[in-house]
Amino acid sequence: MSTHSCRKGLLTAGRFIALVAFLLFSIGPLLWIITTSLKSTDEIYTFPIKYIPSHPSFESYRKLFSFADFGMYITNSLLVTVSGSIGAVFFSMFGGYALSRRKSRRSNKVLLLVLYFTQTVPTFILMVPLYTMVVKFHGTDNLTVLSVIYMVTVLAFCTIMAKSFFDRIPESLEEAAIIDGCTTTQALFRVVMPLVLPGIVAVFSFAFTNIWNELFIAIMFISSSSKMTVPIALNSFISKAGISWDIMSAGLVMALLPTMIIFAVGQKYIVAGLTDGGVKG
Amino acid sequence: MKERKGFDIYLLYLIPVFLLITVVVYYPVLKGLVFAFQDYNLFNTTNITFNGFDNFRHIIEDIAFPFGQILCNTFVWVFASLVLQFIFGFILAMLLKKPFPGRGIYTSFVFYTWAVSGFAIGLIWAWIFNGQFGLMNDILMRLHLIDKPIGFLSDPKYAMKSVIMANVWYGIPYFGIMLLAALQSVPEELYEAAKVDGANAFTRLFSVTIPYIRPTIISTTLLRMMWIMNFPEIIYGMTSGGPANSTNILSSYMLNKIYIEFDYGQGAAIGVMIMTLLFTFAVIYIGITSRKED
Amino acid sequence: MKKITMLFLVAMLSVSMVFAQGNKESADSGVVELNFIETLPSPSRTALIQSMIDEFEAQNPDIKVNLISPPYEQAENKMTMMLNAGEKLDIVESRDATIMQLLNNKHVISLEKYLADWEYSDDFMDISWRAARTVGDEAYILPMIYFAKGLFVRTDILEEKGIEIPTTIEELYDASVALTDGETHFGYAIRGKNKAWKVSSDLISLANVPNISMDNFYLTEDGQFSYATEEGKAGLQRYVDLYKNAVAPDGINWGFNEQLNAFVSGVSAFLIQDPDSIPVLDQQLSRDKYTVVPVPVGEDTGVVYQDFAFQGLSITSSCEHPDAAWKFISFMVSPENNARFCREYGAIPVFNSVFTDDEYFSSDLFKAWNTMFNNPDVYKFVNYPITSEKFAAWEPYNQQYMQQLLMGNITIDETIAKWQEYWGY
Repeated sequence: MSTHSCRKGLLTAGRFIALVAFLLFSIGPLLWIITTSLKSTDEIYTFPIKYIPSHPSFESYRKLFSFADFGMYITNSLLVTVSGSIGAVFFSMFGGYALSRRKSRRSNKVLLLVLYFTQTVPTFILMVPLYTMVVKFHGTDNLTVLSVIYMVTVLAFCTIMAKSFFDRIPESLEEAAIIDGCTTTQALFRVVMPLVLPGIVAVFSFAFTNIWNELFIAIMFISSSSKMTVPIALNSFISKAGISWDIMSAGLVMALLPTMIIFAVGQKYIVAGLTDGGVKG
Repeated sequence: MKERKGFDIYLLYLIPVFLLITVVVYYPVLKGLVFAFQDYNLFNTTNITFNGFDNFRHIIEDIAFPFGQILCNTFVWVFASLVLQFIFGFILAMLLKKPFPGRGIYTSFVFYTWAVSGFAIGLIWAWIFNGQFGLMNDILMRLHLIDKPIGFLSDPKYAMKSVIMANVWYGIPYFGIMLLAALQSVPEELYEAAKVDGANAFTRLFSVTIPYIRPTIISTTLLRMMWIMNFPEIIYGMTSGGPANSTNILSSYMLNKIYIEFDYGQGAAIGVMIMTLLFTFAVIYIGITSRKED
Repeated sequence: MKKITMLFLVAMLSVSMVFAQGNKESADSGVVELNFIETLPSPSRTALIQSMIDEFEAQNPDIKVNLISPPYEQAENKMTMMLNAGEKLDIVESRDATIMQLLNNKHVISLEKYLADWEYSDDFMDISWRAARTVGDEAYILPMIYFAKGLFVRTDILEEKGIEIPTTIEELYDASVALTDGETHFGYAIRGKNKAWKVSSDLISLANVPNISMDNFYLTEDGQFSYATEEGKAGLQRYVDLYKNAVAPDGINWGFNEQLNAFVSGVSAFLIQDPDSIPVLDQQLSRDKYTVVPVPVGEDTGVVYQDFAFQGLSITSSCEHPDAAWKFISFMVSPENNARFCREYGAIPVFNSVFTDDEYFSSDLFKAWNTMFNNPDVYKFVNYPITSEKFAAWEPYNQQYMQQLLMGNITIDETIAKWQEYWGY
């Protein structure tokens, strides 16, 4: 008995140490960026390294929001990201549902491969022709177009994930609803969707993170400073003569907040969602 | 009757997804692939002609940037990153499986790295790994683990390891989240049954847990592999492929061709190589792993 | 069900919000709209240009200038792609390294027509004319600023160690070595990646070559590859020695950011950089701690060669209102605005009168550049082979072999042979 509890105690201690190690590893760089953002500009580059600012201030944040108009970029990014990821979730739910329920297994496999293949494409192969195409339709420098492009770039991944959620919901559920007089679409919305709501949140947060961070497409398709997104703004703090680390670090912290909130809120759903659906190849 | 109606509606459901992907991904990709067979250099685009496989030949034969080395770097980068991300992600998922006070906040601070953009990771880790005034050296020296700073990014012995470490830092949460979810779907009865059979924790892991979450492992690793292969931002920001080519991988090489040399033809040729490699691997991987399933 | 309805409402709402925000084109008749892309942006520079645009628009209510400022590292790529795709672009920021490409692809028009009766013709410096007509023997670019390297010196460190400010490359080498303790201090803040050749390695290595051609940094007047000369080899050897004896071993991987970090933190006391580093340094280092002097010269030749780096404005061939565009670029490049731009951004002006009339450009830190520009026999500004199609790929190629050389994987002779083979000189 005593050896058992001793082993158990050892296990708990080991688990605790491992958890702390993971936390230190992941949080270290964040702490450094936060420290940097609280420093005055003449303290950023010091040797030996200063870990704690001698006069911590929010000056960098003030600069970020006044001088660089960061609030507007956050609004733009939120608009593009939220609409893009909701769109992707919307279409991938239908697509994933259909892929999960269709009887023709061979054509399903081909369609899945078609989706997988899109993930092998480097953005740069796509960029020039896509840009030329959008210029022809006068669609550049337009946040709507950007969010549609973003939606499609995450669509394949979302559909693959969505299919796997539906795979675990027994078909008998909708069949019963259809017998009761529902159409297929009604059955999907009334019976199946509520069950995969956690899955929807999971797909949404992955789509959100990917779109929120996208840089290269945004730079190409957005020109006006009033339409810039957060990644473009952050990247523009790098110039030929150096990096403006004061506003850069403050900007990085601010840019992390929305995705961290999404993770914190969605985390429970994600876990529950993937539990219900699982990610099945 | 119902069967037919159902089939039609499913097709309708699929149309938007595949229509959008065809217009925004496949159509431009097909056009982009054509560049790989043209002398498309921005220096002069007034007379672009087809040049067969010249771009591929040039890339394979260029002795300044030995193709074998780049290929080798690519494999090291992809597999080391993938395996480490997977192992640590798996351990993290196991640790998080049982609830503990503050688990919500804890996960948020362990998973946030997934939300840092690629170029920012490059900037931050370049600073951390700087061989003179970097944080890593400073901390190791203060702990008396080393007595001379290490050139993490300037010494070819460490450069690849350092960029991989940054990538692992970034990628653990992906597996953490996915595997954590999958782990919670393993029915408790299976563990109980294994316990009764006298299996210890280690054998339980390999006889119960891993087989049960195998589909998740297969699809997440495959997708992740594709993303790592196409993820040059960290390397580009930390070393630009240096020192002396020692961290140059296919996608960072492609970035160089496009952004520095303005040579879209050769850039696209590298892109074609990346896609071919990945797709071939995907087909083999799916082939091997799905045999047992059906 | 309720939740899903909510979700769709949110989706539709946000999509419609984006739509509402998307199409707000103002098509006022009578107002000419010009799209202008800058390619060397920084947050403060963009703000400066925007304020100049505002001034221009106030004076010319019939012209509206839309400034496009993509991030620095992707700016030129974006500019080229916009031009190639036929996106509306009227004025582009061009420079030594891009003007050939713009001309080849017929993206820019000749400015000679406008320059013929330009009011500031006489004031325009001789080398400004040279810059304007660098390619095609016609002016395709109106030069706006020069970048020239200066030697940034940490005066506080030199004072403490009792070391004089170096005036020759040899003195720079000796001073850097003297300041190096091998642990926490390394005299020289090297550039190891991202255009090291353009920033400083060619400048340091080739200063003792007596007869480098003004048209091509890599050729001597008698047609030899600059590095293949006796002096070129010795110069490259000294550059390697400088790296081994006075530079942090990590320097091989340093870009502008690490260079700046080394200089500001006092790890290194010498830095070779453009004047646009001044506003950046001023935020982090007070002026009693650093100064700028002319770049050191070769001790044997008494001269030093450096990149003739200029940047200016061009009008695109697709521009529908070239007269309005000229009005704008000649506004930006007027002596008065040129002085303001150079002072606030940190660059060297293109007019004689700015140097003579504006005290700022002959005093304090700018004295270094004033000296260099007034002594063309000592400080030679030479062109890189920018008209060659090999020029763009030179950067990765040079870096590859330079890093190999500094790491000791290949010899000086092998490196030079590789470079010579690349250029075919």
